[in-house]
Amino acid sequence: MVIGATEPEGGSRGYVVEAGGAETLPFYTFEGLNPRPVLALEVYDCVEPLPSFLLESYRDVVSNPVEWARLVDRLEPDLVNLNVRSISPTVLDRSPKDALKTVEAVLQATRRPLMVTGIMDPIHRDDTARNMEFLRLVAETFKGERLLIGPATPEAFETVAEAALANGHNVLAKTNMDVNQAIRLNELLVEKGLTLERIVVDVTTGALGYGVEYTLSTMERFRIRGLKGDRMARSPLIFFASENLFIRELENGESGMAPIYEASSAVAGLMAGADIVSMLHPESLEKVRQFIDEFPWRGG
Amino acid sequence: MAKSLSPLEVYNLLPKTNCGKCGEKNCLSFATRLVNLEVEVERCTPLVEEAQYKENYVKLKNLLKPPVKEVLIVRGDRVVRIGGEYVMYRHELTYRRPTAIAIDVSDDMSRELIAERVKQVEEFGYPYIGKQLKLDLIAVRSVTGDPARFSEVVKTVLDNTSLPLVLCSLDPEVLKAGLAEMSGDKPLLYAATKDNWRRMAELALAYDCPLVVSAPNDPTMLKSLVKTMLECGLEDLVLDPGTMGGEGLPDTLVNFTMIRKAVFRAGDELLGFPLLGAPIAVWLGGGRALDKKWEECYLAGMLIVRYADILIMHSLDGWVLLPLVMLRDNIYTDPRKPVSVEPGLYKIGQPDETSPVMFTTNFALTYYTVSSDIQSAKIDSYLLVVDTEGLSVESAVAGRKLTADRVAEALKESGVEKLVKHRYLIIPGRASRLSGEIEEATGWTVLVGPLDSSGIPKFLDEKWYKPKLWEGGAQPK
Ligand code: SF4
Repeated sequence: MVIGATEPEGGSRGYVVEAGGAETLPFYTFEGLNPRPVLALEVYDCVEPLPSFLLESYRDVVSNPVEWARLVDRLEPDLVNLNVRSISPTVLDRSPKDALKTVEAVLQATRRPLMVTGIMDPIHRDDTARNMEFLRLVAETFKGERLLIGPATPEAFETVAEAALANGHNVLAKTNMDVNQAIRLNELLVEKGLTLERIVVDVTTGALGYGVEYTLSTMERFRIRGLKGDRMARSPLIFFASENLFIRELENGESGMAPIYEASSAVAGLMAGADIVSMLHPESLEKVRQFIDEFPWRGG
Repeated sequence: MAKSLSPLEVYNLLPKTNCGKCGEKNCLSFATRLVNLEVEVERCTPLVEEAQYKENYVKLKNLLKPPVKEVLIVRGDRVVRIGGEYVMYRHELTYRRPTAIAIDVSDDMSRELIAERVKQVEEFGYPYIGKQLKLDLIAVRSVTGDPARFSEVVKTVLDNTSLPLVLCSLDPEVLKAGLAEMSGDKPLLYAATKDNWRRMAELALAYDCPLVVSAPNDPTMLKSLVKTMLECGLEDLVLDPGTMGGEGLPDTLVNFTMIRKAVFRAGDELLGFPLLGAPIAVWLGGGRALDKKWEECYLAGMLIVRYADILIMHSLDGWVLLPLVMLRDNIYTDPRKPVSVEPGLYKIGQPDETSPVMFTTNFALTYYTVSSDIQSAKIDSYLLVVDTEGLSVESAVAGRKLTADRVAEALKESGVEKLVKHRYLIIPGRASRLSGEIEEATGWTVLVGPLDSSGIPKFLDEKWYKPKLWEGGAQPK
């Protein structure tokens, strides 16, 4: 999968990132080298009170996603993940059209490849419809930028698949806990005309202590099936390590606990086959990058 | 390997009398449970006791033997089991013996420091879904090389904890001095190498203790040492393929992975023993303590997911250990059964007819989180646990395991109608999209609770005692 497009390619990014393309099981360096995993850092257009340990890093930008993106840009992630939750009726009920302005401004604030996600955990009954409307607008407005947009879910995937297809973007396909569900959603998206290298599979269910084992096992099974020749299991995998920062253990935990929670779960996610890891804490980004640097990767 | 065993194959070796002594209806269902590793063979007492079945008993034991041997580290009545694994990936069946974590003390530490560290290890505990996440062992390391000093330190440790031990020194005389302090116990001895193997083997045989065989980053040597040890008559071995941080991470991972692959994919019996990882190795070089802790943590995490059965660590900080014991617990959860609690009505505190009624799902983590939040806020209430086949609220709503009808049914069966005078049901915030349907199905008025149960006390403060909720019937306190 290629995310981002440079000017000659019709976009405005400074470079592009490639994700996926694994040919052996994760870290089976004795059988062959896989491409280097991609690290994404998250920017939120609105957050419920950000945990205090994150405020240390993001205090000045919390209410300004554009400044936030500038800050994140300086931390040098491979990919910026802009999450737009304000469109949820239970959050700010911002109109998807209005929310486009944020995407526009963030695209100006960083030249790194961009991922744009809507409401990742639809709770309100209108959330899904909002996601679809928003993602369709994003796809159309930023045609050519080759974004990664989502979530597409088994309940709502058609709009986002069509819009991504028509405008040259990639899709994040989100399912829960079950490898067959993930493969089924891939089939549905492929029926819509998307190719597998334009789908990123997200089976994240929870943090350490909150069901991460389901995610890890599902990722392992998905990757094994893909390598064994199941075509529909050949998409890259994304793992949201950032889930770990919103758990209650950290609210009153010792200082230093938060990034290490996120980083250790990121390491476990990489071991299970994650091709993209999405994180939120600058310190864990740095540590996970150091970890990755210790290993050999295809193409250096 | 148990997962490829058919219950019939196992059944054929059982007495086939269907006597029921094992607690199962018949031999076939016992065979099924054996194949699923849910019971021990010894539950079939006739098989073990009667001479006519002796041969079959031996055959069956062999058939059910895990490819990774189970090794016991014993101190008094405390036993740490490591290994005993049947599969390479947890989804192939389940992992069985959680990676044991040993924390080190060394013989150059002061008596006070040793006592303090040991106490911290013993007291480490984190409550998680109805259990305590704990550390397992103390690793006593000789760095002075002085047998007398070592025996003194072992004694100090023994006086301060009942945890089983790992005794670490490459000098058999030093280990012997330590062993002399713990007759009858079976600490793990670390380690036999290419240089000291003969005397280590003698020592392990004499004291009947499990022994680590160590050949850092040299799998060929490791294998030949194992072969030699087996020929010496040793059975309880643990393998140390070497743990290296920094630039050594890839090799470390390759060694651990290749060993397990050889066991499970190529049936290599010489490597079918528990693996020892030593994240403590990161402390060898210089550098900031804070960086070392980080490195030790991710090295340990990496080895927990990649086959280590026992780890020796140095960091004792909660922030390093908590994510690890959590990860370990998660990885070793049996993927075949959702972790669930019994559905039904739970009383929290001393609820009366005016107390709130809330519901949650029977996913253990959800249940324990919610009930501990309510308990710690000292709210007398009824908590209805709805059977969602062990799924969390969010997953259950998405997967239609939590529906208005299920809630209505559970509410009816619980009899809570007779226990309270009001008809208000507080539902989890994450089930809010069901609120209309639940009202219809139950006839109760639904109050949508917070997204996270930590918000329950505040929610009740604001919503529950407001008199307007109480049109007739019960009165607010
Ligand atoms: S105890 Fe043994 S013989 Fe009796 S029913 Fe169980 S398996 Fe069969």
